[in-house]
Amino acid sequence: MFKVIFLGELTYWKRNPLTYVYGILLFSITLLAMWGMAVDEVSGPNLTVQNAPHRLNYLANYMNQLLIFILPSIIGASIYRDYSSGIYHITYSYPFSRHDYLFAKFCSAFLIAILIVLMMAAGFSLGAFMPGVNPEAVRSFEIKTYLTTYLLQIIPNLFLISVLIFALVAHTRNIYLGFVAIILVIIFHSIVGYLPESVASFIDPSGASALRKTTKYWTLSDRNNMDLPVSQEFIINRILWTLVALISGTVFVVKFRLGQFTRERKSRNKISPENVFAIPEVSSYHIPNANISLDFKSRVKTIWRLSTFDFLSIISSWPFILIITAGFILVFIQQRGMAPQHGVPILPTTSEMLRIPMFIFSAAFNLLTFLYTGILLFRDDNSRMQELTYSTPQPNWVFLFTRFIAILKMQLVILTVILVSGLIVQTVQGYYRYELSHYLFELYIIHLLHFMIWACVALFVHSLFSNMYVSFILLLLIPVGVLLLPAVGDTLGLNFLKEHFLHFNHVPGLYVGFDYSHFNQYGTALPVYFFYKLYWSLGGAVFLLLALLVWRRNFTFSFRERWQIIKSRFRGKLGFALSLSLLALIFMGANVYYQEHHVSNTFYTEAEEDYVYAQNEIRYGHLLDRPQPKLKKVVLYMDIYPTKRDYHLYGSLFYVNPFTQPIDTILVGTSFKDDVQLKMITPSNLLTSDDELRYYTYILKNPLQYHDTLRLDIDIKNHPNTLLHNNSRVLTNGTFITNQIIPTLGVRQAFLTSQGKRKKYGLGEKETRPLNPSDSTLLGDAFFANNMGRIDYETFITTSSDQRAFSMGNLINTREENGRNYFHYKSDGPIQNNISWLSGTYLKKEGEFGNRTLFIYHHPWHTDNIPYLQEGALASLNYCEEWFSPLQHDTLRLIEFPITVGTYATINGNLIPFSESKMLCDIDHRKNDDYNHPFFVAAHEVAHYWWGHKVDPANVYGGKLISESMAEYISKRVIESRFGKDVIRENRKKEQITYFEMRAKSHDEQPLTHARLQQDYLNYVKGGLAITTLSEYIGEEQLNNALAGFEKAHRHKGPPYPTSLEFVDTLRSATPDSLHYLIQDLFETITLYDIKLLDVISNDNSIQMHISCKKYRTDAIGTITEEPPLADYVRIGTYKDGKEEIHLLKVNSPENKLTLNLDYQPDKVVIDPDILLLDINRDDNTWGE
Amino acid sequence: MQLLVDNLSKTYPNGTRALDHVNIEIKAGMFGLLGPNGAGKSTLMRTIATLQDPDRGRIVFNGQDISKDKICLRKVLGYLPQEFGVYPRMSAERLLDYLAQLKGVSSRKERSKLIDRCLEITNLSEVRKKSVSGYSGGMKQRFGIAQLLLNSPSLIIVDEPTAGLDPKERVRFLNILREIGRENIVIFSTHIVEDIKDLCTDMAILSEGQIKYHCRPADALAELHAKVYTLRISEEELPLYEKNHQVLSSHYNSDHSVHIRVFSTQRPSPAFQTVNPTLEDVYFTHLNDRYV
Repeated sequence: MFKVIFLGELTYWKRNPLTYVYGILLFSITLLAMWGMAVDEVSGPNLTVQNAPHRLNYLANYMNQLLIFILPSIIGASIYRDYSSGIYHITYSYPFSRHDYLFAKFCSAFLIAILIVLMMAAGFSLGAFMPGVNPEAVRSFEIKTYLTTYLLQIIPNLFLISVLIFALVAHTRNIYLGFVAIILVIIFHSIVGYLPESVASFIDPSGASALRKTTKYWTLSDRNNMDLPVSQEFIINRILWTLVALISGTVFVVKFRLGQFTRERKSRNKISPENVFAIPEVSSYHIPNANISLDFKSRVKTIWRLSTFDFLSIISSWPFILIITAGFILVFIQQRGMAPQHGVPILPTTSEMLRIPMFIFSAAFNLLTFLYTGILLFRDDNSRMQELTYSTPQPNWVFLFTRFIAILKMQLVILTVILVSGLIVQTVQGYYRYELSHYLFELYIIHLLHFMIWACVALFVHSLFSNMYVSFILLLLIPVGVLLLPAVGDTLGLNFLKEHFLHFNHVPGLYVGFDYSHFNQYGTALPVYFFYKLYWSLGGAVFLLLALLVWRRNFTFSFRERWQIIKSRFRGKLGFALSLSLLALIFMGANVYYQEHHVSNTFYTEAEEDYVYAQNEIRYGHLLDRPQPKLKKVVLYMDIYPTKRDYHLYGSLFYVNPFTQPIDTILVGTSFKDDVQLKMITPSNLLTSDDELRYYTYILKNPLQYHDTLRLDIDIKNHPNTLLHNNSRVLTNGTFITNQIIPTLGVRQAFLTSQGKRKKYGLGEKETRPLNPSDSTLLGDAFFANNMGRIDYETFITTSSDQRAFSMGNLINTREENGRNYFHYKSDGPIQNNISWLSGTYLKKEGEFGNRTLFIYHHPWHTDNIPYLQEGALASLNYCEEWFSPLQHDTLRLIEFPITVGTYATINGNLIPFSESKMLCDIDHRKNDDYNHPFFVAAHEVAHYWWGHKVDPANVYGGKLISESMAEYISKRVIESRFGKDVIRENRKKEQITYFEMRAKSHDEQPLTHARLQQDYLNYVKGGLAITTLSEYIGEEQLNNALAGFEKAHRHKGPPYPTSLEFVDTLRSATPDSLHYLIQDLFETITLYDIKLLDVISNDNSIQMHISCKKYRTDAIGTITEEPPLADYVRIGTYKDGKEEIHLLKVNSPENKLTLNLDYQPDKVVIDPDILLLDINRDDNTWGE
Repeated sequence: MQLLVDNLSKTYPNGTRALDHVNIEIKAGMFGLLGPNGAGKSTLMRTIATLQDPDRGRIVFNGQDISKDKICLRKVLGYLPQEFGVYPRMSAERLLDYLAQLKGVSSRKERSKLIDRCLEITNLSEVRKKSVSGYSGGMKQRFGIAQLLLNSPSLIIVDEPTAGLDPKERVRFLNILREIGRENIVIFSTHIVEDIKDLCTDMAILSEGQIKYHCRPADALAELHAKVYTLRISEEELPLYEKNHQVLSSHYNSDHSVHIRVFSTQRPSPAFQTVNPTLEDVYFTHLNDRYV
């Protein structure tokens, strides 16, 4: 019997066009995708092989996530067909067993599903061999690659989801609940993403976590060349989930009864026999006359009441309850495990509670809206109650709005999940600053508005089609399509597709939740949001009216008939309303277009920026070497108007020619965002004025001689703020304006680096001017702020009377006049130029700081972390003054700026602006025994007064080794002495992981001496670790003495400014010969270890260890280039009863049997317990316990 | 009170002419619509119930063209379709409340009184909290009646309501209809002639989309008076008689002999006996136009 049903089903699928539509669609998409990517892939150091196993696996899994949405239409439909057609009444009485029936149904549908997903492999493999592909970007076809991915991932995953869908649909007789299975799987998968890796790799139903665990440190070279690793965990995971699928399938088969007719629970519905009969013989069948009220008001009341009825039917159904419970768990986990910054958890502020879950949430939200709108709209038809309801005296709009309001109520419930979970998380974590109004406003006004508009679309699409499957899939594609529009526009060269007025229900720049600061709340985001949402609400209204137009109420039997109805409806009031709202929509769309394009806008799109970068090289690249005078003195007046969000900066810049050769041409570059007026006071002629790239060339009447001064007056304002464009850098509170508004001299260091983009603009493959530290012509430029050096600084700031303003220098004078606050700051001698202005309402905290003063200006709510900032700053000060030299400034000011501006901290002269995010670190205030981020930040920034200010590196590769790596080293040192050895080891471990992950993502890793300036994972993370490692091996004192010598030699010197090469030479000279290899390994090459402690044999008074050690060096993309000979020292930790003893041993060869004399038998042995060597896998470094 | 069906036509995309220039006038009282399966009864009923639009023609209710204002008719409409389902997991009480609101009964108190009464009349009070989707066929049909009564309708359309009811239940069911039919229009379709006999004040026979006959049942019977004859013949003789006489119906007896009823203006042969005409004879006489 199995065979008969099975073959019958296959025949059905063979004749069903859907099978072919899916297959061909999938084939073409994958073929075009692979073809396109392989053509576009540019040869060069960062070439990705598009059909390498890792890449293929990624692509296939990505596609598979979309593919699961078609499964209900295959797997679910195979069984649902029998119900919907009613044929089950007959077939269920046929002589076959339920096993035969179910197996045949499932196997045939699953076979079809597999055939469809195989089209993906066909598309990918063929796409790689189409004409025009870059031959380097593809490998030859290997069946093994596809087999691994399909047999171990795609097919088992399909199997699991198919079983779930099949069982759910068979059990509930509702094909749409197949989607519930998918939603649940997606939510479960997301939850797994928040679990520890070791757990996730076992229980992730997709197997991706297990795979990621083994490949996450893979470099580009590994990804291009290696086969997919099949780890033990991966196999166990696969077996586990296949078993889960098999067992749930078996349970289902055992429970399933062919004859089961209705899923009403019999017990609840038991009807006693006497009830079966009948209509009573009563004397009168009189019914009291009903009072029928059909006026507008009572209809509105009816809508409200009936929507509650519909709403209750949704939320009381178990699939919904299941989803909402799973969703709650996911949101809760997400909110609990808020993205830790630098391994430090942040406070569960209301804005975080609202922002964090939005990414996954909003996708799931749309799914539920689309699904349940469909279920409501098709409910009358599906339950065959339509003739009862359609013949009631209610117009279509009563039905439409009943559904609409019901969906809105459902959306309110879903949004409440975030509220409830957020409040619980805040309570559990002891954060009692409940901001209920913030929750309510953002959830029930801002987000509801967004989701409501999607509900309008869903109502229309579901009314349009008489097949819910079609409308549901279409609805899923709409938001994706909107997101893809710009990319499609790019590919097809149709630039109008990038216009925002086409991106339905999308607010430009807003993807996942809102940026929010305690300083200025939503900033300027809300007016923009509401403007776009007003526009799209009109779109929503149009969709609602369209839904009314195509509303299915009458029985229609042909498209023509339906069209007649639509036409006749359009002739009535509906057509008028529709035309009116369409006009309003178009008008508003035009308004959006006008506001975006014809009202002052200082924003550049990425393409526009690329153009500017390219032109910078094309037009001005040849002028890079022209010497320009250096900034020496500044007198600036800054007026800040927080309520209007405007500023006005004017004053004089004085430059000096430091070169013996005279300078006659001055190239001034001005800010792109601001309205800049230049006035060259030194006699000159304006030669060229390039408004596009904002370059102005002046020819001096008398060339500027050695040490002569040039004066340039500036007058800078922001362009006016408009409805959609915030053109100003001023915030209503917490303004932080940096030196970007001040003109620069010479060619800007802003060039295209991406190979693809360089090719697009016809630029050569080589960078314009590599900033090699060995290039002595570059050493005249200091690091900070585009070659400005140290300056005399004076500024006069005014701001509103409720705010305080700051800049570099000492406060000379402050007063209030005419309702404005005035501040006068002046530096006492040359100060490192990194100009900024801040203005806001702060609380001040003054603290002891050696014999100096440390002020912290902060948001009134943010008081908890102040002690750590003070402590960290002081610790760093003491450390640096002890080893190096006294601090230049008598006063330091730490000023908090909004998290929306950035999450960093920096130093500007004696000012340390730091992000609100540092104040939001969640620290266990009672114990305070763990890594403390605010402490670290303050220590790091204060260390910069020596490493970055006093010693100012040249603006070349590797320069940040002297500033950032050193600041990291010092802060690690003070962290260690404050928080202890265990904390710093844990910190190093985390930092190493960060480094391994980042180098895997990058494709241009450099040795530290040549690290690019933007490569933070090298300059901060690896650099800090490397110097620490060196200090551990040669001793802190030995190293610091050498560093002190370097600091003294370069203190306030330059040009020429120091480079990494000089710095490393200093380190080398402090290092004994036997450890010189460390300098090479840590700073001059990319060197990693793979050490394993294979065995330990414990004797009476010694242990013998079997250690394998591999040391290897790689190139920029991670290819192993050499395995240098070993003569390396490795620390061994031995443990007895919790007591640690550290030994230093020398490793000479890949395999070592080393003996260590001990007077005890250790219970644990650990290689490199201090986490000094860069060893990716540390799991095999331990013996015992 | 008057319902006028004026020249109504409907052809389905597959070519079926469900309604073919149907003209009929219906006054207060019980109106029976007889016809074989597929005659177009349901199409006509659904069209009157505003659920379906005709290709041509109009329906006028109390002087109002309902294609122009469907709501006006729906206000007074009580409709029980031939087949219907209900939302799953929903009790009779809740469903009736839902439908009463749709019918425009906006006062909560009034609704609850109405629902109590309707449940009482249909004897569903005891199972009011059970979900309707679990009801037996008869109970579900009674639920259909209950929902129909909610707005005290003056135009009631019931499509094949007695199908699937046991005989006793059928009688009482029809009693309710008759009660309502005293002052209102009740249109009910059936292919069971019995249903019409005692109840209807007016009837029509619909076949192949056309009204074949429209009259009061009593008049129809009078018209056939002394025109129906019966004869007992053997099974083998049936084709012969069918060829030579206008046989209305034939009933097999247990000894395989056959009673035939024949339409004829005079006694066909002495062997035939006169019988009183029944509505069934009327039905078969007019079903195929052959004999009239």
